Amino acid sequence: MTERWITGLGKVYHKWKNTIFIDVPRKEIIKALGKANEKGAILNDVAGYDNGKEYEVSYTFTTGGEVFTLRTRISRVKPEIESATKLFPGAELMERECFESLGIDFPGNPFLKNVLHDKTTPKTPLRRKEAKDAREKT
Amino acid sequence: MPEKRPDKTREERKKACYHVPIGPQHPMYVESENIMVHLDGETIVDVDVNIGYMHRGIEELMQRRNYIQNIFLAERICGICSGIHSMTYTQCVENMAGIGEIPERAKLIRMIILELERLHSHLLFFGVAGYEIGLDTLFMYTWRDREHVLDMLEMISGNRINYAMPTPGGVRRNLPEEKIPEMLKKLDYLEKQCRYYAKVFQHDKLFSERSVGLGILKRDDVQRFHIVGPVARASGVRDDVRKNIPYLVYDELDWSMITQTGKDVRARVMVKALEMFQSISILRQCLKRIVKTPKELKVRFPLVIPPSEGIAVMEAPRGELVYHGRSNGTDRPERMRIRTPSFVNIPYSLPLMLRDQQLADLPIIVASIDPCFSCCDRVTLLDTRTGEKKKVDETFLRRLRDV
Repeated sequence: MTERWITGLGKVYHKWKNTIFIDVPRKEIIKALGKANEKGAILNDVAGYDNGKEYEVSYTFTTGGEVFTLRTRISRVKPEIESATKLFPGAELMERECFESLGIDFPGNPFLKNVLHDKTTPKTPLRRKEAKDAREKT
Repeated sequence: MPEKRPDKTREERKKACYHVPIGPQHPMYVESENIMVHLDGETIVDVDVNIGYMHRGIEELMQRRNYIQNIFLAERICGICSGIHSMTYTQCVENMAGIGEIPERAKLIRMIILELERLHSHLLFFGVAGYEIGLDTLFMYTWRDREHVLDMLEMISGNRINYAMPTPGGVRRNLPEEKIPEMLKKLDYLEKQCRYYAKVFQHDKLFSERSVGLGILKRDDVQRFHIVGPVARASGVRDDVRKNIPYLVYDELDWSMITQTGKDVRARVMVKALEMFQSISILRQCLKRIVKTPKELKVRFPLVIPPSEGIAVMEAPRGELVYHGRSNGTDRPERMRIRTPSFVNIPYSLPLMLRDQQLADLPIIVASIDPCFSCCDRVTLLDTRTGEKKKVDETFLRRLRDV
């Protein structure tokens, strides 16, 4: 059952079985997250990705037997996006993981520091350039 | 993390406390974790949970390997839940490739592996819980019975831990049908044993005194931090991916979701004890059904996946497991994001459960969430003669391999 409010959050760019992928403009992401929170959707994951041109942050939710992802793109020049912790306190750790692996800043996250990596781990290892350099070294 | 939320009274109390580090290496743990306990006498004022001691960078490693090689890498994320990792990964890859349906026999074989894995994971947990409380006999009984489950897994896959059964589009091996009667006999035995364990958890005086009312996790906190799996179900939250977002053939079988309202250590143990009966029932239904299905094991899967995106969500023994992948038109994933259940359960729930509890109860409260640290650290060698430290990297391991 596709809930109409999900598809109204942004532009659907991919759909497969019970999973819907939605593109949301950077400026509207907090509003969309607020709507998801209001509807009682459960935040499962916050994932970061470097597509070469910009960074993407995907928020994955489950609700009423469906999975949906809100994807937003952020600039490489100033990679930051407001934290979702005010709406979803459970987002804190996942945002910290994005921060340490891709260097994306989440203003509003109360404890934005490394969670899994230590001082000796290469910084932002999932950024394309760093990942490529690491592969070439090995 | 919740332990650092503004709580002035608690923060002030923390300053006057004894700070006792437990871990990362501690007899209480099977794996590495650090809990900084702030103690006022014997009472825990607060705890700081530090994870990451076992980080291996598997998400990055997955980008270097092709879709088939990654099945075996995913399997090695966790020694106990190896089946669920490889199957969630496989389902995510199938979603990326746009494979609609896999053969029914493959679905049933996947389910049999997953439910057997749940059984052996829960039995392992009962052993650890019994050991922490002082019921060493229970530890020995449950681990003895766990061997029967591992034997069944060996009958199917030829292996006791890493089964390597799924492949994108189906499964790699068929289930030996001549072994089904023996498996059913073992399930009868396990059901009888589980009845006994459930009785012990329910009525044993020692167990009750060390578990009832301990490590309370409120329903509101579970929902606020999206805590998952049996920990959430023990607080009365109906959270089970098998029911909420059914996959494989879970929606076609007769079973029910187990919840408890106790919110304490015993409720968490009871959820798992009662889930064992559900798993046994699911297994019997699958074994009965599989003999009537066509022999087809897999559908054609492309080695190269065009640019796409996929998500797979499954219920691991410890809760919801999420794989989110992207393909780029090659034979390797562009990005594979993994969110394990323990990643949300350990850091969020432990501080809430441990506050104002006694230090002596810490081991069983920690064990009650069945923590699993599926991200592992690098290895460091120390030369005892010179004191020199040397990191073991991939080049070093390759050199060892070639010797």
